Amino acid sequence: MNDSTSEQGFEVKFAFVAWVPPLKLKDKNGLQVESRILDAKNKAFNYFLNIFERALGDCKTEIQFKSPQLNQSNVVRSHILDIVSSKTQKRKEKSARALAERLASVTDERSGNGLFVIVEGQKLQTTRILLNRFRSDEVVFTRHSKQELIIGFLDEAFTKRSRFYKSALFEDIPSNGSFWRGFAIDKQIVANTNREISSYWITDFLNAQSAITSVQGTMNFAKAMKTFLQKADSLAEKEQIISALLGLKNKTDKPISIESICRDYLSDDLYQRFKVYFRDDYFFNSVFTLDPDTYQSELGSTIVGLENGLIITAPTFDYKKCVKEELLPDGATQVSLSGKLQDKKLAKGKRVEL
Amino acid sequence: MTDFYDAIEADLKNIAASLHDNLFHLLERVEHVDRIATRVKACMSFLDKAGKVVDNKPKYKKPFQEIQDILGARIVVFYKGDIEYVSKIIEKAYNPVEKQQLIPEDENEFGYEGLHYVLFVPPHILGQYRGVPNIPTFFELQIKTLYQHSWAQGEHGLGYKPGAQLDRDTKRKLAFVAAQSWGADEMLETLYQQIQRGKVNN
Repeated sequence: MNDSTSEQGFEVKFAFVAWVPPLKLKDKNGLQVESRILDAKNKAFNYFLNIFERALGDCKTEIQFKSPQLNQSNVVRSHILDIVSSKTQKRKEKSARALAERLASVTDERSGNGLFVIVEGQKLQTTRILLNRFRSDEVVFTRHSKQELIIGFLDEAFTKRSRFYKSALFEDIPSNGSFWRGFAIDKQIVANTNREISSYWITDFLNAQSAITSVQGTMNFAKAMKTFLQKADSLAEKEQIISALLGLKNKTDKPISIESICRDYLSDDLYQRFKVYFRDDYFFNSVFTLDPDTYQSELGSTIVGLENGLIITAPTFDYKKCVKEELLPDGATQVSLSGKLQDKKLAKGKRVEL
Repeated sequence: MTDFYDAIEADLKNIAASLHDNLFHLLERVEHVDRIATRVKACMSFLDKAGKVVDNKPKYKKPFQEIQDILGARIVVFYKGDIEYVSKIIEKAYNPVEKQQLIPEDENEFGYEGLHYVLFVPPHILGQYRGVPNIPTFFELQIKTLYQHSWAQGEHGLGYKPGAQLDRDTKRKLAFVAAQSWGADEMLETLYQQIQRGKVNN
């Protein structure tokens, strides 16, 4: 194994593969996790090594391990620390096997059988460990032999290209205080309507969470939206951004990312400008859920300025109920307000000559 | 070790300033927050802690990774009841890995009190320092009342090393001040609750 060095200079210390059936809430019915250490001579090794190489670019959602008892303890992290600190393949395998069994125990029929792969590599002081889950799929394959086309069928094959592919990458210098943070890919997590399935990799298996809390994500999102509203070139762009805000009103329970919001609600041009604004690519792609209270306090009021100096503050989420906008033939927008008068106040204004 | 610390000191100060802004924004509309402060552990203090020995072995093998109060924050609130309110906001805004309610072990003792958290530095604050060697993953946050804070500061200012053997008279004097602080907190909380109830009843 020690002669297996990746192009990035990581020497592969350990590679482990397990066939993981769904054992959550199920009579085991004779099914059990089957596992083995993968030798560098195995053809599949290079396939996994290639994924290991690209993992840093693939895994874009930053995650952090949870400590459910708030005592700095997380069972998955403990197994990872055991793997990276163990000197022998046998001891590493014991912890890897424990992780595979944990994955089986949180996997139900909807997620099906899976292939669980762990690759650990070391470069100078840094250790990288990659955890992957490939969901089984049926495939037809062909082979050409002596001008004959052979067609075959496999009822259980595994590929990274599946939208069910999941991965988690941790890279650190091993110590008692390391391997708390990592990056994950879960192609289901943002788009999927069934949150129970999509959260099982990060939440149920890894016992981890998005590094960005709902509150911080919403605060950052609000800050970005306000900045962009100020910088927008035209009223049309401002309308686009406000529409995005209104569109998110009912999405407070779904995982989103700034990238997904921009992709879904903004024009390509505005999308690209947002992307440039978020030079920190990690945040642009990181997944969080909108926090309704923060959303309300940060973005709850829309301020509208009219050419005659009138400035109105309207509740963002009831804007259409109390402000009517009508497009005039000259292209301008006529605004009219509706609602019962409740109060009047005087405030400082600009000095004018009487 | 000093060179490693010096290399990141400016970065640590920037992160501490960003943490302050973040905490301030989060709590600016919350009543009864007296102050929010963040700090970077002084180099000498860090070196002292990093050099600790337990059972003839270094306590920390990788001090920059294992010492979690290199970055520190403190929120001081008016009344005891405010601690829980603020702690809920903190737990929702940051990912905690540790929570400790520090109180004297013996019910007859008076001494240091405070709610301590170890929290992940939010990724957007870590931002440009991500990948810089020895930048901490965590920061320590303390939430205290005015009197808990004043007792702790006053006691710290006396210069006793933690765990130092103090004579009986000194111990009793320190316990007396702690008891007075504890009593002041209790009374203020009681008065605040009474006045609030009065407002409701009136």
